[in-house]
Amino acid sequence: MSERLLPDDEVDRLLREALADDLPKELEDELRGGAREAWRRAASGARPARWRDWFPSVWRPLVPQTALVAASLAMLAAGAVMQAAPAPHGVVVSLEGRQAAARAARAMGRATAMECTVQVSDDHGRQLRHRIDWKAPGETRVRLDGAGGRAERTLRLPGAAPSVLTRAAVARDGASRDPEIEHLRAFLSPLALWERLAAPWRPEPGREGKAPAAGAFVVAPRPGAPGLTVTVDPATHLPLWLDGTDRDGRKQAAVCRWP
Amino acid sequence: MNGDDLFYDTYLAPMETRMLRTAWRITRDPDRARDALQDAMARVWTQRERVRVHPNPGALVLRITIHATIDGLRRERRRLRAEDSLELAAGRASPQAGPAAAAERNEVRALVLDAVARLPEKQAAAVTLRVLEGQPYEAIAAALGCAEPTARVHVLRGRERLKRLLHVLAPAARRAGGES
Repeated sequence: MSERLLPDDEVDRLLREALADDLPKELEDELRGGAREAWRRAASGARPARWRDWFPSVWRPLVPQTALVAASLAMLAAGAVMQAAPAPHGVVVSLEGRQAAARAARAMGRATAMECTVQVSDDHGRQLRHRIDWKAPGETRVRLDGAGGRAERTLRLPGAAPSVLTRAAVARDGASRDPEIEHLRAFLSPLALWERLAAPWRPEPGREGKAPAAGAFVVAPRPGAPGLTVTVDPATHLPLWLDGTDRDGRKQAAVCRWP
Repeated sequence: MNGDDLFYDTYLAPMETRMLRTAWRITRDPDRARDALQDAMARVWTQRERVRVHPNPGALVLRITIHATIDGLRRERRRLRAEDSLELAAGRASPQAGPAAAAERNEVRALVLDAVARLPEKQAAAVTLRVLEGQPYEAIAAALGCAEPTARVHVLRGRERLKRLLHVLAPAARRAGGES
């Protein structure tokens, strides 16, 4: 249903009546004076809301406009110089490291097999060498080459996903209770390895001179602490070399293959 | 006499009365009319070179005044709830009228003011210049900075929009028209 509209002349009449020209004489004089005064203020430059009016009046002598203009120009110039200069080394390393770590995490999540040769030091400082073969969905074979001779463990670790070994699965299978392989837990599956590498990456202040190359990143428990350098395959983004000190303070080196 | 005084005498003094009356007609309130005129004067000051070279400086000054006044109305509408705004806008009733007639007149006036404030800027200026100021389309076009046919379209569309906004007044308006 269409609404009933007013004709043109009714609209005009309503406008003229509602907005009637009935300005009282005394108010007209007052408004006229106000308008002239407003013009004088505008012409004299005493306009409201000038930017310097935002400052408390006691500050005004301290911040003359010329000084502020000079400071602004100096800041603009400094900004231009900083833009032109190369980015700070730590920032670049940090960003590249974080990107490499993220890519490695994604790649390890897709892995279906892993072979690692790991060299770690035990609690007595002795170097132990182990070989770990992991195959989805959760079969892990550990060959131990220790002072006590060669031994082998086979762990069957049922996980929810074929390429993911959960920490709970490790505990269920008793791996964490086995003192022989407890220190290898970080290598028992790609997820466990990633958990070891997932420490917050931070640029090391004293290490700018030997920062990791592109495709590598460093994990360290805190700034300045010894860390683990992880070198990744630029094609697959999977970790190939790990070298340094892990979060528990053990010297550690590993070579990984991803069939 | 300095240049500012000369500008005032040349371009604003001839329009002064119409500026005051326009501000009053749209606001119906002394304080808001005063604010609107101050705002209009500041705007004219910043646009004085444009006014100086304009083919119809008087129409441009009037347009600036209308814009400043309607902007003030819009700010009020945003600030206050619609009912309060209507009451405020209607606050200046004619004291001679009886209570019932005054109330109805105030209600109609408030609705019209609200409708004008809802118009797009150019339509509001075009309708106001045409209906209230009786300006020819040529002057309206000069004030709006457009061609004369475009000015006609602004007036036409402004009226059409007002009709829709004021359709609630259709029976009342007919009654009022029949009584007068």
